Amino acid sequence: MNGADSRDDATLLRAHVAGDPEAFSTLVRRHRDRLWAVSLRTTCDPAEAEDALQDALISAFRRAETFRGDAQVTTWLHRIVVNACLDRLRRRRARATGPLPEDEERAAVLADSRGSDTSAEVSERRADVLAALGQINEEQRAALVLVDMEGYSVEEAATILGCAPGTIKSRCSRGRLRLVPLLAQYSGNQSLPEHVQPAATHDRAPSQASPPTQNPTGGLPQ
Amino acid sequence: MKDPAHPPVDLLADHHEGLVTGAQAVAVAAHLDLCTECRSLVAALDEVTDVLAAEGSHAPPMPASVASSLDQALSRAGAERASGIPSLAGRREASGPPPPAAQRRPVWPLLAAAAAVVVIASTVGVGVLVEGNGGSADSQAGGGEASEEQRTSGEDAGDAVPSPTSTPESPGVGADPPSADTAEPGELAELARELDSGTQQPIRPQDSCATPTERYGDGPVSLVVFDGGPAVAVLDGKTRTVTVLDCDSARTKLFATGY
Repeated sequence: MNGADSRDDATLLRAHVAGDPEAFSTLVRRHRDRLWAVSLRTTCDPAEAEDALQDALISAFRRAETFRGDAQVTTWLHRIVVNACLDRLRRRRARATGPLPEDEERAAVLADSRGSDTSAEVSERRADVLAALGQINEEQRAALVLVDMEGYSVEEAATILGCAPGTIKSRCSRGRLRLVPLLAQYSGNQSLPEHVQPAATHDRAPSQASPPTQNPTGGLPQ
Repeated sequence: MKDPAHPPVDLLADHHEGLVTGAQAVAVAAHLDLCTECRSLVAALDEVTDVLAAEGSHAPPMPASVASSLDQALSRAGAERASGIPSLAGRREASGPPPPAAQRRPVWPLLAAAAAVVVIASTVGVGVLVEGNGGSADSQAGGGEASEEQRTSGEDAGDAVPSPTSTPESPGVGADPPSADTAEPGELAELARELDSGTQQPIRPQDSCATPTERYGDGPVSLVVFDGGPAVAVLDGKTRTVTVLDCDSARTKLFATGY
């Protein structure tokens, strides 16, 4: 379609605001795979990811004039998409349906999001990583998706998620800790200290950088 | 190795992220120098980052079905824009500064202000109490065209509309949902979706509008296009009702007020 459009993102967005009927679609086509990946990884649910992404992009379409040009267009799009994802997750939690089901069928759906040219090994890892992400707190997950997976800086992630850089760091730190045992099969170190293990088994994540107690759980390996 | 002084794993992780300072940081660093177990945890944290980064570099392409429905949705949005209904969006720039907080998820700007809607309602003669959105006491002030002053106050009120985005908070987990004092954003969004579907029981348009066919805006106040024409809907999460203002009047009448 407009794959050959050489205008940069900001130019396309301005053209859209000025009434160019194709500009926004061109912009979306340019970034949709990455935005889809973020949406999928943030929600860990393909149906939610699709709805959130669509809501977000329609919203971006309608209020493109609020883009102020002091950030990258992609950052602006990510912010809208990630917030739509988190809104959906919070809404679902508010309806008290509990955490995501962790059944095999869902894992299969997630694995199915792979590209057709993906090897079995890669798609298995993809499913495992998504499943692991699905088990941690959604705000820690959103931070890790942006910083560790998408390669955003802590400051950019803070802008996208609307919080302080220190908060992003803390969420990343705690999220990684919880992922250590969940991703153990992909790490070179198979024999982790035992005092790491308890962190994975329940949702223990103090809200301060310094833990409130000196020895919350399993601080004593033999 | 028996060592009762292992730092808690959270502390190790935070230290590794540079979040620990002062004497505590010195103590953790000293412990790490001596303790292979805790060093292996730190190494494992880095490995998590490596695994995530490796996976992150292989973005799963958007499935064709998702891409196709997205294209259709954007086409519809384009057609709506071409038809001019939501084209007011651009006027925000002319009439006021953009929302100040970068974190705030913008609400569809022109109808974001409940007070403004009440003014609209009074101009078209549909008196509706807008619960929970405040600022309705002056609804009779503008008998006709909205004045410049009203527009300004409407925008001020718009800043008070609850934002659907969570506020920045501590790095804690499982933050409680917002207080029930005002309509809860998630609730509003759910109502909005129910309004879109036009089928849910809690939706009680107070006029005999036909089924809503389209809706613009994702705040507590929306423009809804019914079979009979555009209207303004106010979603009230507290009472789980949708109040529909001005079911019948033509679009031009709604927006002749300058919003």
